[in-house]
Amino acid sequence: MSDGERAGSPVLELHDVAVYFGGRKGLLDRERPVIRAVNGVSLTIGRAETVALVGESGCGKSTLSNAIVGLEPVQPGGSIRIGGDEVTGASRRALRDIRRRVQMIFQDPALSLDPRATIGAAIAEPLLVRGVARGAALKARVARLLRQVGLRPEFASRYPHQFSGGQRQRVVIARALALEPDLVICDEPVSALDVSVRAQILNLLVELQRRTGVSYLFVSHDLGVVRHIADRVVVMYLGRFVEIAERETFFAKAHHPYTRALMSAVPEPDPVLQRGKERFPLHGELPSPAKIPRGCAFHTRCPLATEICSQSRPELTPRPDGAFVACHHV
Amino acid sequence: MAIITFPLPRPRLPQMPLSVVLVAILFVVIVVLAVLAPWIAPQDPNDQSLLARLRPPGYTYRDVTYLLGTDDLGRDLLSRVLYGARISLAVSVLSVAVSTVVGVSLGMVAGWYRGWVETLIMRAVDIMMSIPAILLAVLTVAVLGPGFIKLVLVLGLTRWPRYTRVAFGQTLTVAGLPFIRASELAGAGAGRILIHHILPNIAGPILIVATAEFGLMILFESGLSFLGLGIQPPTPSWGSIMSVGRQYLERAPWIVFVPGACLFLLVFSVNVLGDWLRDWIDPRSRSR
Repeated sequence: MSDGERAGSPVLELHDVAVYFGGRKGLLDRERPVIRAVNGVSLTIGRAETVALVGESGCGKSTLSNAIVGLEPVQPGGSIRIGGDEVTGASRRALRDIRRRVQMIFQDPALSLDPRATIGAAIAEPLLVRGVARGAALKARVARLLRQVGLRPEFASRYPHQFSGGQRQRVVIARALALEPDLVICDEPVSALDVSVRAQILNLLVELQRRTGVSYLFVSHDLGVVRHIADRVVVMYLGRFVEIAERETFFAKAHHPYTRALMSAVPEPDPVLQRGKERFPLHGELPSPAKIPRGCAFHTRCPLATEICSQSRPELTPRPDGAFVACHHV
Repeated sequence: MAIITFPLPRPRLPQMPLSVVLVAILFVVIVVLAVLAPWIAPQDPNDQSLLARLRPPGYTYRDVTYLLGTDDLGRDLLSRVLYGARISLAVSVLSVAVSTVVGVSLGMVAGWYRGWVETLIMRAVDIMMSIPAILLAVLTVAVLGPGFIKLVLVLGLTRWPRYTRVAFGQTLTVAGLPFIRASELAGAGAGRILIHHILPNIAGPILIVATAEFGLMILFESGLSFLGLGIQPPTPSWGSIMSVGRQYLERAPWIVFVPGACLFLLVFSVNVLGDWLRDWIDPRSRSR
């Protein structure tokens, strides 16, 4: 596929992607309960778009991110297309080429950089191993990337422990952008940072998107951050998407009872607003992904649940305002 | 966009307590003496003088003063101990190198690939660890015959499992960290990740195992030579000198005492330095 053709196709297309853990692996292995971490999800991300993926811990956000970058095998039947090229079932060489279009930024900048390597070496590594540049050209590329994320090129010879958390995250961003990817998966990129540094990093991500046209899949549980950066919001519960909406629609009116519960859990700085806020408490704990409830996975905790919810699973269906919601009752 | 600058932290010098400094000096002196043996040894270590057999330290015969006495063939003990230090050090350094390379490679491979590779390597480690190393070394030398290279290989290839255990555990820990995943995403292969990212981050604990093993290797070399399975006469090594001296313990105790004291001092200094190194490498024991 030529670059021209690729420019027309979406950056990422997920179709019925599922990731299971456990089960019987080898002949002598004992049977383990199958954990359906990601249970058949479909999503399309366009060029220069930011899609936020929200949900509580253990809902499958990180597993899905890992599956997209190929660190986690996908169940047969599902399809992951990156820039129009199928990832599942591709040859190793084709895969290597496709993979460079997707990079990742991790949650904890302290653990995302090799403590024994200079940050220059960290940023240069993708360029070096892919054979993009070497020698003086490589040095120039690294210097340009450092400047792009607001760091001085002289910092290249320093070690990660000589930097603050926010600066380290800038280095991680520079490394992720080194190969000029089409999509960067940001796995809670600011949740380990001080509140004062968060805005700086988020603004940097927005600015880099404007300049390079990169798309983000922004994994987060912080709705405040999501509101700041996302074009579209996807809500995940127990391995499935329960609501997908444009940002304005999403924050104007949440449909799914789970989304409403998430929203009501965000504290409002204004006490008057806080008092008037919709209360939508959930009861019970997140069920184990090894024992996903029948019907709608959320019915065990849902205040709106009725008979039908434990019988049949609702599909994502469009609503008048453009949102897609998987619920029998809204 | 704002650019933030800050001063580089001053490079910290390793702070050695005085006792460790003294031990370090002792170690350096032994190594330097061993290296310079051909230039500082007063006599040829294999020069016999049968009229000056088993003489005590300080004995002078035909204008030659034997500072540390002579052995059963009238050879200068000082020269033999100096030359013997070369052999003992060479054997232990080389065998530590062999077992480190073999053990660490296997441990990293087991920790990185997991699955059946891990099972194969780690069960082999269990088997090796259940056989006493000295017994294995004795048996191997008995079959292969003695010799310098064989001695190095036998010691090196029987002592790798400890390194494998340490390298395996450390690799498991490091391999799960995000910066390793980032390297995978960057397109780095297993070889590059193991050598560039995992090895530097597990080097500390391995270095500590290696210093502990170094002392043991000197003892093993001496032990095997003492049993006649290591370095063969007339080549001097501390073990072989002591092996001969044992027969003359009552008439000429210095033949055993001098190399024995050297052995003690060397192993002692290596162990003290290893202990200090372990504390110094562990950041939790260092105040920042």
